[in-house]
Amino acid sequence: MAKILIIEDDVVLSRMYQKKFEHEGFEVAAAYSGGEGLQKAPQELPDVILLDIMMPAVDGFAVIRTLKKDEKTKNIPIIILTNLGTSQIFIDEAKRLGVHDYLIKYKTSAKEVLETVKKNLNKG
Amino acid sequence: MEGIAVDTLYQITKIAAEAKDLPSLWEPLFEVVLKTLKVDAGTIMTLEGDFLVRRVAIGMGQDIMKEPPIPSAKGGISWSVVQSQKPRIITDLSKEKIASKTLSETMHSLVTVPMITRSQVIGVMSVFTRKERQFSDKDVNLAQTVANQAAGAIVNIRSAEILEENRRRLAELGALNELSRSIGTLFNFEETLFSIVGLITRLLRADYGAIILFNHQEKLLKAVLPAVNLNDWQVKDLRMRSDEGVAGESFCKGVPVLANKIDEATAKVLSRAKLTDVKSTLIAPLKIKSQTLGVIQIFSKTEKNFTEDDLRLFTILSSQAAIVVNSSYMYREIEEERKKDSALLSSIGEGVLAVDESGKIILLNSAGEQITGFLEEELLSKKITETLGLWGKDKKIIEEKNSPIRKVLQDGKTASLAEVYLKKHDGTLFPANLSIAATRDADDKIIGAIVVFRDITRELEIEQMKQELISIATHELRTPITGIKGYLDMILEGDAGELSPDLKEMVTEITKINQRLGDLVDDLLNVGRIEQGRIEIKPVEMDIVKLIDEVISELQIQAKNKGLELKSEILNTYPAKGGAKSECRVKADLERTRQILINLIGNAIKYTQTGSVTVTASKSQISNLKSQNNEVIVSVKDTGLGMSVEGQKKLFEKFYRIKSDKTREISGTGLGLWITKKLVEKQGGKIWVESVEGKGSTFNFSLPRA
Repeated sequence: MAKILIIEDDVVLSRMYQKKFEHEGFEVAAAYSGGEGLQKAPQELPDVILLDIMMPAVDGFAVIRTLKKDEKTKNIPIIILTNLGTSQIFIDEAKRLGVHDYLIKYKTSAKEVLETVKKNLNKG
Repeated sequence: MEGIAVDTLYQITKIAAEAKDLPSLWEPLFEVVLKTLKVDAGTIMTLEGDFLVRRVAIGMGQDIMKEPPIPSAKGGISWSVVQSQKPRIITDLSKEKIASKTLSETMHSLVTVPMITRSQVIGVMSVFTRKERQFSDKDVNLAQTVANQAAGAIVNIRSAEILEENRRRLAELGALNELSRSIGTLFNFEETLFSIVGLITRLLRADYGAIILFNHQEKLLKAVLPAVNLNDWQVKDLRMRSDEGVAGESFCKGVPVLANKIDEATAKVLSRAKLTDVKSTLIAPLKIKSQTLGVIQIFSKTEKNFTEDDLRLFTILSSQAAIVVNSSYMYREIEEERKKDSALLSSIGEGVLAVDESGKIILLNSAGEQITGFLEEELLSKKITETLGLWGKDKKIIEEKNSPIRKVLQDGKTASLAEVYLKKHDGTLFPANLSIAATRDADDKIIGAIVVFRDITRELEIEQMKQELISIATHELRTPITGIKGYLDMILEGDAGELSPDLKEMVTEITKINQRLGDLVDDLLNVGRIEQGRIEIKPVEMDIVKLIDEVISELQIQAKNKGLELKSEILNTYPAKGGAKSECRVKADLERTRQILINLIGNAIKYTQTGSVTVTASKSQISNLKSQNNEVIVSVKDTGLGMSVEGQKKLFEKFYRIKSDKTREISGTGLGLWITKKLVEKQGGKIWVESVEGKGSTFNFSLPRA
């Protein structure tokens, strides 16, 4: 059974994604801040991480940078799920950091998120 | 004419007073008469027993003086005037029996007036014109007055005892003449009015005098200060309805009235002002052009004090008074306006700056001083570009030759500039809105411009805060909308178990509503970005055909769902570089252009029920006025609803949506085309629509060719 870590500060959205992935048979772990995400990732060692960008204190990019430095976590596929828009600067930065996919929350259905996650699992 | 009249009277009296004998009186006297009445010739004959003896003739040859005196038995025009004591006007002399042959052959029109003094006819005065002239009542009245004054002068010369009165009259007429000449330069109108009323009162041997003006609000004739020999209370109480007494009559009819007896109605009016000792009165209307301002009235304690001659003189003098009264009131109005203006200028928060026709600053109000930090004196006689300077929205300096103020001074068209920058005294720039309007003189000639400017620093800050608030709010809205969408999708996909058909339909509807909310938030965010100028355009060279095909394949599913054909056509393109496939290279921002195409093609699908949507790219043709030759035009043509001309005009406005039975079911925010237009314009292109209602629409936009 695949394990997913959802790092998302918005409880409503996080629970919605948790529900979706649980329903699909995933083992789900949730972190509600960037800091909590950095703490849980090495513990849980998920197969894939769903990561929000706009979070207080430690934002998504900071989370990626730290995870990529850690031998244990640097190979975990990361999918960004954000409302930060399509600004090329963010997408370029994310790609430079080695992010696998960049999804826009309000443009992507839960089903599409699931499919993207599955695709990345297969790669892994 | 009125101004000339007093001057003429003065000159005549002066000539008469200075003449030592009769022969030295005639010629200078007549020169004045001819000039005043603008006639070509004139003659005076005096009554000597049973004969009319010609005393002077000007402009009609010397032979006429050799003609013998005319006996009463011979009759003719002059004798008829002597007998009737009334003026005669003859427009066409050739039809009349004329005593003098010389006259009938050379002259065309004439006025003959009796010369009357102390109710006695002492002769006649005739004036002639060579060409036909219709003499007016005014001309005749003036001729009559001049003739009577001349008659008085003649009699005065003859009898030395009246010389004293003659001198007095001369002095007063002289004073009046001085006054009327200087009206234009006088500022103390009260004094001037008082002098005029006083002079007229004395000149005509009256005891009281007043100017009575019509008050439009109260609909009353009311005496005004200053008045002659009336106290303030009497002035206040001297008021009447316009149908009351002789003053009312004079005002309403616009004619002078001589009342040697006081009728009952007038007595009532006078008793209110405690003027019970008045026995006779003269009233003349104060007329300026067609408007009657009121009347001037003089009163005498003596019965039958005034003669017809007095009335004529009074009429002429009152026309002079009318000018002063009018000037006085105009001056007061201007003064009040000026005070109001200056109060207004100093009270309004907007800077007001005036320039003369050469663009030099002639005024800066106190708000303008506060805003700019300059003192008015520091800017006077300098140009705006030398002092405050002028920068465009882009903070690029606007040169004097491109100055909008200069343009307004040239073409007179009012101009408004939003968000330009001016320099304060301390050297910092501040954002301002400017309105510039030309000022004109009475002949409509541009004599300068008024510049009204407002410091919009605060407004820009508020606007930015507003935009940020909208941005945050809409951003915050996206999260819950995404949450709702996620759960609805799960329900629809059967994650929570099988749905009944009814439930499925309802949840589908909710999904659509949620989608609409999402679109609205998205559009609002875009509007905010565009309005704040936060939209970045990074033009790159690209093949628009490739992009069109990409977008089409993205939207193909939507079109298929509606049974529409969605295709692209490449027309009239530029030769491809090396390849067989034709291409259309443009210089544009990839993402923004994609957004434009999605919006236009998406709309075309939305508003088309049957048929097709065709996207074409072509090089612009010179014949197309809307685009230039170095552009590529992309057209999205549909076979949909189309729209009226009215709709086409408003289509690109914010929040505008075509409203009809057919569009009611189609959801939209009314922002899409506004956004699209801005995105096209940001890239240096244009957008326009061609449409026939019921037949379909074609949306076109241009992009610079790479």
